[in-house]
Amino acid sequence: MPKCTIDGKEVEFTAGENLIKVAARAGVEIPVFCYHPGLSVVAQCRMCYVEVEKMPKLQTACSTMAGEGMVVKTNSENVIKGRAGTMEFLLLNHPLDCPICDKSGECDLQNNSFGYGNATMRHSEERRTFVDVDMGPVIEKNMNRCIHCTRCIRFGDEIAGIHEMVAVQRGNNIDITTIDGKQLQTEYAGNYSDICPTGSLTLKDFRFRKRAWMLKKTASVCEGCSKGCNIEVQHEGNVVYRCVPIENQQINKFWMCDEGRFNYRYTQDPTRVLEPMKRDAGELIKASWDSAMESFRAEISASKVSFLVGTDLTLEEMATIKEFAGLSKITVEHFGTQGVESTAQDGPQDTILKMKSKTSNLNGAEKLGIPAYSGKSSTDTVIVFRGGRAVLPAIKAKKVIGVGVFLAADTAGLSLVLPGFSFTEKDGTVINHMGIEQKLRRAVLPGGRCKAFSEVLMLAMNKKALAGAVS
Amino acid sequence: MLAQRKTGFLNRLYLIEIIQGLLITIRNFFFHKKVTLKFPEERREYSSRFRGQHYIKAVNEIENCTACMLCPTVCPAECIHIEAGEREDKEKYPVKFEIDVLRCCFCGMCEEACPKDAIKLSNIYEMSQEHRSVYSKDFLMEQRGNKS
Amino acid sequence: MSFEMSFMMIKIAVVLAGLLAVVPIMLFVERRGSALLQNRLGPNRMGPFGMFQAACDVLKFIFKEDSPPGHVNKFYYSLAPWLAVIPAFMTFAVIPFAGSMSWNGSEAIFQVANLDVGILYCFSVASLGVYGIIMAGWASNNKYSLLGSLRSSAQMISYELTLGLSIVGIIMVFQSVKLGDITAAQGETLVSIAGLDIPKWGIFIQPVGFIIFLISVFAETNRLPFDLPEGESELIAGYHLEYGSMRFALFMMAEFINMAVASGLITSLFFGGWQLLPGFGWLAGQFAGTEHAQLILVFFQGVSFVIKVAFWMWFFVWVRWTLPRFRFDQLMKLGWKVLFPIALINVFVTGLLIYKGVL
Repeated sequence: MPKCTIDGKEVEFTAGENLIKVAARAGVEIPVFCYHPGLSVVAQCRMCYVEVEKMPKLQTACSTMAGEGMVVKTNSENVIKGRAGTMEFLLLNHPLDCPICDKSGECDLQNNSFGYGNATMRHSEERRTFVDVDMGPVIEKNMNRCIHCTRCIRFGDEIAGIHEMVAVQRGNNIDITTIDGKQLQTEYAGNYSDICPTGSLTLKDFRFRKRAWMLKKTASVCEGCSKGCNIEVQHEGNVVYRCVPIENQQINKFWMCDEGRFNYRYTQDPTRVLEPMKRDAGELIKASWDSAMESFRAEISASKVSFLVGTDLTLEEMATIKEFAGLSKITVEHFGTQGVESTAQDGPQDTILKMKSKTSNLNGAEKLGIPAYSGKSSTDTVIVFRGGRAVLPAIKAKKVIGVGVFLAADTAGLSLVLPGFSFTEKDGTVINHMGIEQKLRRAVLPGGRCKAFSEVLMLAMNKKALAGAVS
Repeated sequence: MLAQRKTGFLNRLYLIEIIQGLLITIRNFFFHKKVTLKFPEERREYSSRFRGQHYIKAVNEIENCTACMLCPTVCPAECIHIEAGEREDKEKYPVKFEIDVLRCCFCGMCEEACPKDAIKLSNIYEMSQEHRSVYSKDFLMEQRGNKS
Repeated sequence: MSFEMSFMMIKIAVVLAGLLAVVPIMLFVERRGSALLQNRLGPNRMGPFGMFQAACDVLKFIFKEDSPPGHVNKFYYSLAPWLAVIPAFMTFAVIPFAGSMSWNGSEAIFQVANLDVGILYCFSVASLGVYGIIMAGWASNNKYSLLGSLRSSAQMISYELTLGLSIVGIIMVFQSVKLGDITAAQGETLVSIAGLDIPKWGIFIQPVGFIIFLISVFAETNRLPFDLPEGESELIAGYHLEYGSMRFALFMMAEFINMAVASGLITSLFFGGWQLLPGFGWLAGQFAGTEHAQLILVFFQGVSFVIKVAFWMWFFVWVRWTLPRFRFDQLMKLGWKVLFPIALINVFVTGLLIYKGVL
């Protein structure tokens, strides 16, 4: 393998790797703005200056491929001066509105300015200002903060497959905007906010809700479709504020779709059922767990029952329910997305990430040998176990009991609702369409009086346990 | 172990020391300046840097605060609660700005962290109230005890 | 009613009234004095110089609800404060507060009872006071109270010994246990240096005895630096922890009256009792030969006595706010291993001096 020297350390590299990647392996961090490992290289921001021996001028590390015997210095006086100069240029027009900016705390410009910039500035002229176009429901634009790294333009071109962001005008008047000022069309718009190194493109959903440094982060898996994108649930004080993608080269690379990004919202919907509810004279009325379990047990033992598990449940939950059903000879079927009943019917919905199956664990349900809901078996009562994402099919039964996450709108046909945990509130395993097992992690605690499926089933089996365990 | 001090017989009697002590206290009794302050009539002069009751500095009745949340971040007592919002004349402003004074330890870190010179601790030190109090934004916006 | 009876009644009334008056006065002096000694101002809101503070305190004590805690032994609990305060009053009976005068042919002595046992009566009655404290500590059914009263009993017994021994010298010199005789004998001149008469006060002939007596008397009255039975910082309030309102006030009264008695004893034994203070002799001499010369002399004797007693009462307060509290083992060590032998030696030395004819 060829070798080069970075800051006195010998590093091996494969041909075609740029200096940023090689340096990262040597433990040397090179500050960047326009460079993104998932996007093409344009060497626009001039932040990643390094000094390469035998080259007369400073080189941008992102566009310089490592070569055999190359000697690179990332900390020489020239480099430090060069970076500071770049920082000064970038900050010429950048407003000092970090207190207002949603990006502050996770802002590349902030970090690099702190790490490599000057503490003072010589610029005293007026800064340029822009009137911003409406970018649609996802992204809030603030051109004043932009440093023209063109990451967003390249993302649209190369990843989202839609050339909607452009740079108009030149020089000081450069404006990064959508073509003709249209709203963003792509369904991957949230990524614009993620890749933007400043607060120029921020999420409207997250606007002013929390400062970035206050958020606690839990790595989890998106439950939006069978792709299984890796996400980070960011939460504070038992409230989820946003989900952002994290890198997984096998599955989602660096990206995620807006559907998955904002999927967490239903877990905090004010209409979500958080108390056991019983239907009485046509109305769903709050009940105690005691009385709710009483009716649940009565249904199970008295009438002919079948179970319907959502494919948005974790493997563990499905296995528990299946085992319970096996003990009582109850049939178990799965439901998830209308029209996608097996992995054979599943497939990519678009060319990027989205899959047809809109639940995370269709593959897992199949691996456990749970058949899809056919509607053929006629039972008196159907008990639906739902993780919150699966779409209820038309059920032909006298009574339908719901266990799990339901919004008020989903409860129309249910005679009894027992609240359960949503995907941010539980640990578990899901299998994506490629057969990769991934772990969900609990980020927040469930509100109200939700119970895990296992606990509900345990209470259904054991009346004695009920006496002491339920408040 | 304590070192045993070698003392003379007179010292061991302690009578002289006791008399000296009595003289000190009686000197205080007659001559020393009394340090007590007769509070409502006399008031102590506090330094201009004294950290008392909080207020939010406002210019033309528009608060300086932009709800950047630096004060709740540095607050060691976690007594500041802010909710940010947007309005016409101001891109970001605090919809809610509450200080739980019972938790506040008056360390002044919020004042120090504030980039907008918005939250300040005034010279007011008479803050006793008859109920648990959380300072609301309206209360904090009254420009009491402004420091120059 | 005979003259003796009515005169006796008047004396008892005067002594009782005087002792009762001591309490509010000392309350004020203690609070204000402690403040001034510590560079504070103390209570200064009620009346001039805060003088009515004492009245307020008394009113507060009277009007506070007196509710005994549920866990106490009710009988002994309510009995204890009286057992503490009554002996304190009784002790003063034998202390002469002025000389004597002849009145219609009979001699009137200004002393409630001129007992033959004199000072011994004092000690025997004063030692009854410890019962009140022990009873209070035990009846309170509280570990701190009990500890306080235990300490108190040990302390009282230990220091009564030295207290008794310290005045043996005085008794030997004046050859009487009657306080009246001892006080009267102190009027003589000890030596005359350059025209300055030094009276034969106990302090001059028994300096060591005086110091021992002073220390012991502090311990007997439970005043700092020997206030271990109370020990605010370690026993909360010691034996009177469970007491409130007027019952607590009774303990306080007992303490102040004990102070007054102790001051009276110090004055009578070592400072010439009612013997005139320097200058008062000349003042009284101005009225010699007038009709009420005798009465005026007695008045000045009384004033001298009161001034001396007042000084020693103040001295109690003064010491309290100067010295820190002893540790219990230090207290015992001081009592048994230091004061007791010194008192014994003092007795022998005094005897030797009397034998040699020096005293």
